[in-house]
Amino acid sequence: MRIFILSIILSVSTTICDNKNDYQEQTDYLNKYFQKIQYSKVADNQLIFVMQPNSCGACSKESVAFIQQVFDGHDTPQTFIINGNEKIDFLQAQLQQLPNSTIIVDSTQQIDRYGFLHVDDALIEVKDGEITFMESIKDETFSKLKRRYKR
Amino acid sequence: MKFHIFIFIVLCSCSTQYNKSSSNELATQKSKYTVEYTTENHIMAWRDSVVETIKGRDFEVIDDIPVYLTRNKRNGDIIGYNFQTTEKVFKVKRSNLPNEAEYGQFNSIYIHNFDSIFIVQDYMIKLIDTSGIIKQQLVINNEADKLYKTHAIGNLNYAPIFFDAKNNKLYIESYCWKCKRHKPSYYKSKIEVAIDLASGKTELLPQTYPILYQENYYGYANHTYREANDSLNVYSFPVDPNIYLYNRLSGNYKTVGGKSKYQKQLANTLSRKQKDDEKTKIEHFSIIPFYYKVHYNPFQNYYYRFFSPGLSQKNEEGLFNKNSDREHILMIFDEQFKLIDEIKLEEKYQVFFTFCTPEGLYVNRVNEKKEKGLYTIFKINIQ
Repeated sequence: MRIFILSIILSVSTTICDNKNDYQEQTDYLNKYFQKIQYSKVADNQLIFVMQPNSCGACSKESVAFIQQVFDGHDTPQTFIINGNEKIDFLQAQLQQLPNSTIIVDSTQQIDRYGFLHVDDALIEVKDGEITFMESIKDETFSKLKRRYKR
Repeated sequence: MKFHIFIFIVLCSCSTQYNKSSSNELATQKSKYTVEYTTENHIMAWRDSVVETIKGRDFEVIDDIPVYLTRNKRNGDIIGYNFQTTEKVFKVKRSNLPNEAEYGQFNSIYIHNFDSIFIVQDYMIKLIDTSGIIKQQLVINNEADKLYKTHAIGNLNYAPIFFDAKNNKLYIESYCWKCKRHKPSYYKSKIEVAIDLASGKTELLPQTYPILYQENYYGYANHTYREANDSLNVYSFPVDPNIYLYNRLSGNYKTVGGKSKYQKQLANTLSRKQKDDEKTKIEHFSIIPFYYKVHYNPFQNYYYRFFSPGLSQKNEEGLFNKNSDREHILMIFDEQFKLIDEIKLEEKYQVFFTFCTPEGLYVNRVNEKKEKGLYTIFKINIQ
């Protein structure tokens, strides 16, 4: 009996704990965000890059170079959200060179209100309309992201 | 019994993201004085390119001239303007400043007078004059230094270099550069050194982060604030209401209470396992109760600091709160660190940008258009 109870408790607690890949709430907030900014070109499969030009910790040049290197040949639509009001010209000039890219300038940083508050630039992977992966874009994650996306 | 304890641990282990911290806070003493104040809006009239101020030392009275210190964002020149006339008082051209490629980036500056400007870079402290002539230089953070085996020297943000002419010593922030910032060892290391300019000897002062930080992890809310005046080094920290004092003349240390009546809860702690979870850390930083640096107003002999009460994670619309939603409280202490009054600010401010002049206490105001150079002057009358 004890083993039975224990197995139930463990399975319940595992479900509660295992929220690493559960992006349901974030997906809902992302959809709400796109509704709020009236962005209609939401694709079922896309890569969303949240760029942080105002954040002192984010090194835009490095992460832009990384994005250009890794994602240049991708077919998946890429949406770049410039979350701030600095370095907009630089980012637009660099990112619009990527094929399949759309740039959104969120100068009032609305996306923060939808739970996507990051210090560093961030990548959000969407498949079949659901967020399947999120990661900061910085030195420490470059190799991980390269392994996942480099073709 | 063991079985029940095990079940309890399993159920508790992942259900909380934040934990409540314990506190060693001291009671805040009430001052006999009272405060009256008026406010006045002010717009900085400097050219647009001069927007990057030097953190912690924006305003100095140098040779009886009220000087507003800036660093030109584009060319790196250090410029001092007469605050009253807006005339340029001095300019140290970037080309006359120590070479960043050789000595590392600037992290602090202190202008004692126009002939004595202390500049701290990653590997060197230089004493220059306004024409850039080097009068003295000290190598710091060198592998041959005994101190560097445990501590690096440099202003991480809110503890700028300070020169005490009475004892001919420089005071500057130190930190354990080998320690990981989520480990207690980082918070047990000494946070300031005194450098004797005559002998070049460096002395670690006893002050560390408070116990609160040694026992708990607060992610990004781990600034060391240090203010200095004629006799005191004043240390404070974002989640600790207490204020820590070091009297340079007597060598005595003292802790005083400095809690705001608007602080209704303790700051939640993070798990050390969340050290790399930047999203959680920045959310935590944005909503916890937060104390800003203690500043000294030398013109009226009082101390002040801002406090921001904690926010809930989400607002009434179910959207996430952010740092810019914070309210700010201006706390005013007398020269004995007894709390005179707390003023709830009605507008939005970036309270990291504040300084005092004989006119009053300046705080950077924010409007919806995000215009630059907006300040409110609090003209405070203490009776």
